[in-house]
This record gives sequence, structure tokens and C-alpha cells, in this order.
Amino acid sequence: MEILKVNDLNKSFGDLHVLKGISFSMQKGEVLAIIGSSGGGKTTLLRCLTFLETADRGEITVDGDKIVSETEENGKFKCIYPDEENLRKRALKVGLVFQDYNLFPHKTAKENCSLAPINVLKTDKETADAKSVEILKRVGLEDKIDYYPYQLSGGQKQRVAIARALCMNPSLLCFDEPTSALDPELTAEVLKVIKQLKNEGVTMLIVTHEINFARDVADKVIFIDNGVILEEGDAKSVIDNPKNARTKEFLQSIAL
Amino acid sequence: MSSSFWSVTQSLMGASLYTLGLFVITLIFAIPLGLGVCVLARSKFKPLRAVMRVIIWIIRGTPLMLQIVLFVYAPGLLFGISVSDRFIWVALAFVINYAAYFAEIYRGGIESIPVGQYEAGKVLGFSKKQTFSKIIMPQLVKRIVPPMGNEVITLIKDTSLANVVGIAEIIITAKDITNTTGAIWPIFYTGVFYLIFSGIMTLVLQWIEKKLNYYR
Repeated sequence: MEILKVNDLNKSFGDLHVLKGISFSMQKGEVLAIIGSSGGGKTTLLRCLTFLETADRGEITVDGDKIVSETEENGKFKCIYPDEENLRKRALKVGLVFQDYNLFPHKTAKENCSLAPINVLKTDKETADAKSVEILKRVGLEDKIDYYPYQLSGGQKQRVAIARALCMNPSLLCFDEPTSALDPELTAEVLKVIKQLKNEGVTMLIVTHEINFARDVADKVIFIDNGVILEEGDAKSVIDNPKNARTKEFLQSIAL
Repeated sequence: MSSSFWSVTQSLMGASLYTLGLFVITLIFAIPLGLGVCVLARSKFKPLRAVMRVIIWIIRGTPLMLQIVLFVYAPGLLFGISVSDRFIWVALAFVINYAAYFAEIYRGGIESIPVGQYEAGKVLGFSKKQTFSKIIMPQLVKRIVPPMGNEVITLIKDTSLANVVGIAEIIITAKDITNTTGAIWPIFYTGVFYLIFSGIMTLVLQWIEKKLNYYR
């Protein structure tokens, strides 16, 4: 079953053409790693997929729902987005874990998780809290449920952020360089959770610099450079035997 | 009029009620009005934003004393409205003046909240209104308490400016006593009343800050 289909996605900031026709799809339960050098368009792609950024051209279909469609006007293509209220509801199918967590500092771990279910999904508080506790246990934070973000380590914060996203039952969970703010030890505990989620069947799209992790956990890898997909395929074969010269160069440069 | 300690204290305590009244009225109305002004000054509609910026500039750019005089005399001079109760017009001048300062404090607070908080709200499906009320506002309160505290303490002392239109606040009352009895000490004695008042407010503000210290 197709969870995500991206077709010919384009995005410019002024004169800067950041995404130049990105197309790919993801199956249910699949883990996709997006790699590439900084400024190549990875983060912009992720922001378009999580609707934080509005694409100029192309289509985005999530779990069978074509949220962003394309129209042609006098030979010019442009994206059609649903109105704000409509988009807000349909975009819930995509969750996002930020690089720098963006937890709500005035809320405990549990409250961070249940705030959106209570206010957005209108779940009653008891059910939402119970679910938050259950998911926090799943990410190994059963002893931190009533802690405030400032009382948690970076790795723990990132796990709360993962739990918060999971509480909204997304069809697809996206990660924006989830470990780049963490030291190696804390990185390991976050990667362990992501691995575990894969085993539980969560569909995940991960923008990452952790090449070894991508090889280990991702089913598929996409290498993006200068706004286009240069190489795409099975994680191990792309990382171990890259075909594209630019991919080779990139993988060598980060192996140093 | 007697210059005995007890009678001066009684007179000044009576005048303090006026200070207290003006203080409370200003805070009750200026705190929400300031938020309204701040929201309008951040509106997407450019002309409205420009108008609000100019209003804030005029209010912050001219002495409060001048504004008090204007509010008390302008209705009569311009529209022939007789100002029977000056206190109301003085209070209005205070409310508008402090709302302008509060609006700027709110603006600073809102702008200091990282954009990631808005994005987290958006990704989790919060509407703009919910993002403001559930995510931004609670953090805003914590951030604005210290600068608001400054304004609150300033307000206590600013109430004395009302003497420019002859309202019987603490200092003018003490001056009257000096004029009629020749004793100068009541003028200095007024400082004690301001100190007690600002001391109490400092404690209240400290208590609020402590209450909000449950997170960082």
C-alpha cells in the first residue's frame, strides 16, 4: 500500500530553485533515508512534505489522499492547496520530529504528548493521557512522564518529540536530522528507538547524516543534490556501491 | 490644618486611596488593551499596522503629563464637553499611555518565542488561535512578567503626575499642608507611602515570578 507519493515537486525561494522536480513514493512500513550535502534541498523537501512550506509545482499524495494537486494555467503549472482548515486536518497524516525537538517548555513530557490529541483530535483528557503514557513507555521514558523538557537530556527530549508525533497516529513519520544536535551516546539511544519503531511497522522518512544508521535501518535511500534525486535504491547498494559520481564523492567526503 | 504626625498621616492615607484607585484602574484596563493594541500593530493589513505604529510612537514619544492635561482640557476646548469628574479623564490618559508601553512589551515577548514553537503547533494540527492560546500565550506570560513588573513600579510613581490637573493625590496633599502650616517634612514623608506601595508590589511580582518558575 502506498503511503506517500510525491510527483515532480518544485520549490523556489526567489531566484533560488531549491527543488527541481522531485518524484518518489513510499510503501507502508517502509523506512526511507534521504541523504545529501547541506543546501541540497533535503530540509526544504521535508518542509514541503510536512506542509510547513508551500511547493510551487507538483503533487503530494498521502495515504491515498491527494492533498496537493497541480493545475495548468496558460502553460504554467502550479500547486493547488486545500484551504487552511482543510489542510490542517488532512496534514495530520504526516508527523514531524524536528532537529531541535521544539518541545513545549511549559508542559511535562506527558502533557507535550497529549496537548494535540486533546485540542486537535478532541480526545478526552483521560484517554489522551493514557495513550501518552503508553507511548512514552514505548520510547523508554516511563520514569520521565512528569518531567519538564528542561529536566531532560537531549536524547530524552528527542524521544519525547517522537512520542508526541506518534500520539497523533500519523500514517507517515518524518524526521529532520533527528540526531544532529546530540552527542554519540545520546544519538545511539534515539536511533535505537527509531529502529524499534521500524520493527513495529511505522512508516518513516528520515533526513539524516548518519550514513551507517541509514544503511542499517533504511529500506531505501535517496541521495539528493542540488535539488534533484541523483540516486535512489536499496539502502545497502546505494551506500556501499554508489553508481553516481556525485554520490560517491559525497559518501567519501563524510567517511573521512 | 494641623501638622501633627497623626493628622498628616491621615490626610496622606486618604490621598493614597486616589493613588491606589488610579493604579488598579490603569492595570485592569491597560493590560488587556495593550494586548489588543499589540495584535493590531502586528496585523497583516499594512495601513492598520502603520496607524498603530504612529499611535504608539505619539504616546510613548510625549510626556504623560502632557497627555493628562490634554485629556482633561481637550474635551471642553474642542467639543464643549464639561469635564465634571477629572479623575475619569486622568485615568483614561493613564490607561492609554500604559497600554502603549504594554503593547511593546507583548510584542517583544511574542517575538522572543522561537519560530519552532509555531511550527510544532502547526505540524501537530493546532489552528492559529489554538497555537496562540495553548502554546504561545503561556510562554509569553512568563517572559513578560519582569518587564511588566518594571512598568508596574513606574506606574506607582507616575500616579503623582495627576497633580498637574489638581487632583488631590499624595504629593499635592502634602504640599497643601506645607503651604498652610509651614512644615516641610510632610513633603518628604510622602516618600514613605510610595515605598510601602512599591515594596508590596515588588513582593507580589516576586511571588508571581516564582509561581511561573516551574519550567525554564
